[in-house]
Amino acid sequence: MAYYLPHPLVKWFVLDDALRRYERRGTVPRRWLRPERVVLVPGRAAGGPGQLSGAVVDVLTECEVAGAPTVLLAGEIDDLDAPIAAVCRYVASDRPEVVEEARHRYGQERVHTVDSIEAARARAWIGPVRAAAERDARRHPRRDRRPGWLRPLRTVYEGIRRRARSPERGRSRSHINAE
Amino acid sequence: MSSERSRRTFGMCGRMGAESNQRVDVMSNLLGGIRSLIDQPAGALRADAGAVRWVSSPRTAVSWSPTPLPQNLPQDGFDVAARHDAFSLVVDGLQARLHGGISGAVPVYVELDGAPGDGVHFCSRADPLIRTRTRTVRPDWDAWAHILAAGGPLEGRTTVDGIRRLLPWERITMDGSGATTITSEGWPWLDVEISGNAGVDPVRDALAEAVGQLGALGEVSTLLSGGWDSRVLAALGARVTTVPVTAWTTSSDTGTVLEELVAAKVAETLGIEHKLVHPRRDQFGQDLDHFVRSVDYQTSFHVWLVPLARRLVGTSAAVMDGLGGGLFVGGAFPDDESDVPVLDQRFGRMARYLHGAEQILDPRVVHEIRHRTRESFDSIAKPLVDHPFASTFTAYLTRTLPGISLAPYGLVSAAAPVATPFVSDAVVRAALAIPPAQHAEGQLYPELLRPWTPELVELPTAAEQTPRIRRHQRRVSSPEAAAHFRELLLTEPVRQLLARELVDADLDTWMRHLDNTRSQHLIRSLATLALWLRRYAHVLGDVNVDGLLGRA
Repeated sequence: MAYYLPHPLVKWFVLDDALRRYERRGTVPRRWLRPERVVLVPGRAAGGPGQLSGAVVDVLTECEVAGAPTVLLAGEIDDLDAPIAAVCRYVASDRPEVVEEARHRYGQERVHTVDSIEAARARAWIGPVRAAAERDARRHPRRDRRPGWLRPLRTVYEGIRRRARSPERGRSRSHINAE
Repeated sequence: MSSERSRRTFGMCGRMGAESNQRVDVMSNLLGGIRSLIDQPAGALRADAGAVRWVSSPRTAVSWSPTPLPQNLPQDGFDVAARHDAFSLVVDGLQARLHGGISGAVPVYVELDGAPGDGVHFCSRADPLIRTRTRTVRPDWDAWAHILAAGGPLEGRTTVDGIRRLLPWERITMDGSGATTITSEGWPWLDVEISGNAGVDPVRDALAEAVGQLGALGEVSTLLSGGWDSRVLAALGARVTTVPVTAWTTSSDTGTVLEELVAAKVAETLGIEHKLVHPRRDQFGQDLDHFVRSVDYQTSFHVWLVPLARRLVGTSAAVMDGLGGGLFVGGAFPDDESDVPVLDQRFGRMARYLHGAEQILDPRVVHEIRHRTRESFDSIAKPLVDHPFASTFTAYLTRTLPGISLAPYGLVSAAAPVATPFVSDAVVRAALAIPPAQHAEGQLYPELLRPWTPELVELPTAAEQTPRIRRHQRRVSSPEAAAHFRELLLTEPVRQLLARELVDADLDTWMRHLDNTRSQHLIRSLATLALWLRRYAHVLGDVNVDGLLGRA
């Protein structure tokens, strides 16, 4: 399948589509990646990459920076052990034993039971997943206290600042210890 | 030696004076059963297989470290402390002397308030000292105030009154009469001369030598995050050692997975194996308990590292950690150019958890812990105030050593041997020779890394790419964790320390507080106190918390 450009109303796309686009252009278009557009990440059982390497890392990094929610499509419990499972925000599965195990690992609110993990059938269940992602985003509004009108300006400023910073000068905030 | 040593780090314990080994035997058993290496009237020492015995007649000595040591150590306690950052017990006839390492990063706990004739007992863990203590076990409320306000006990205090942690370069000598003298005078790092011509090359050479020596003693692995320090260590491991290197990453639970993604990119670029450990939501309570026990309840930092530490149990490689890199190379915690007096600035950075603390703590507690912490902070920071690296040393002595150091030398070292090359003497000296301004904002890192892996110089760190809104649910602020914290903190007597609103708050409010770094720190630290009171209830008896309420 050729890559496609999601229409603004398209609610999700599959990681493979972004990978194809990335391999052709060296980046994923910014307009693909939105906090309200879900990225479906097939687990190994569904033919997904499993490993975190190569373009998969680059594309998932772009998704993370843009705030796009990632959903692991887990067909087997082994899918939860793959490195890629550690960077997905949600898990969806059509198998009760996988859902149960995922809830122990990820927490109840991050795991969805679906009819099928085939990406082609996502239209049937994507609504509640998107709604959960939006609910989670609203749950912690204090994380961005900037007034709404200021956010676009700040984003532009941060972009300029990032580009202006020479790699020769090193980078700030490099030392921050997570506590 | 290295393969035997690498199976498990148990630690060491011993005595100066006292003559009887009864208490040493019990402490040794509590550590898991370790061998006797010195047994003389003036001193005794039991240690795991990483210890090295050396004799320089008439002296007999043992040096120990969680970092693999070579068999041919210098025949002098000062040299061992400087060149290998190791602890030593040196027995010379009727006199015995303890030498702390030059960095002070490896905790060695000493009981100094024994009755006459009891001698001085010491151990790499506080727990055996507490459980075998013959005098009353009383909380050190100053230490608990420091843990809450700054992350760890200052001035070498511990959670128990009368038990201290050795400071960098500290020596305790006991003569034949049983009299003890304690000094940390002459700490060489304070006297490093700054040179306008100094560059980053000697830092790179010193790091390469430290990691090369480690690789010569056995397998090496490294913790790998999305930042500069661990990237430098991973590159060194890949380029300098001849052994295969594994990089280990887990979620730092800050609401983003960029650490994991950047680490994966770094490992792939270096061509080293990368293992990513995913924490389990349903194990948060066990992980919190595991952490505070591993660090002897001295800090609540780095609970998130526990899943990785659990996976390291049974591995044989020495694990490298970037402790100190951000300070000595990266110029972290600099003073700003505001009109605020520098001591106030520095205190404000170390005790930033007190900003808005009234949401979590009773106002009397906030006042009391601020007062107690400021007093101890000033005793450390004032003598340094005019030093060219004053902000660096202040942060090192009030944050890195009391709190951060226990992640490698408490949590991780309980699972595997550990090394922290950035706080080796040669690296620190080379870094401090470079004028402070050149350290600012991590300017030295790219040039430090470039000869080994130029492609990684251009790769942004996780912190640089982190969006303002972090959308992943943190484990520490999940419903499961919030319920666990609430249950711990609402238990008496810790409940008395809480803000009235928090006592009555619903779970969503607890989750919201846990999603804020400052409030989360206070809640974690109060949970540490609650678990400590529970753990030592049998020796503490009925304890009140008046000391933190300003009533004592």
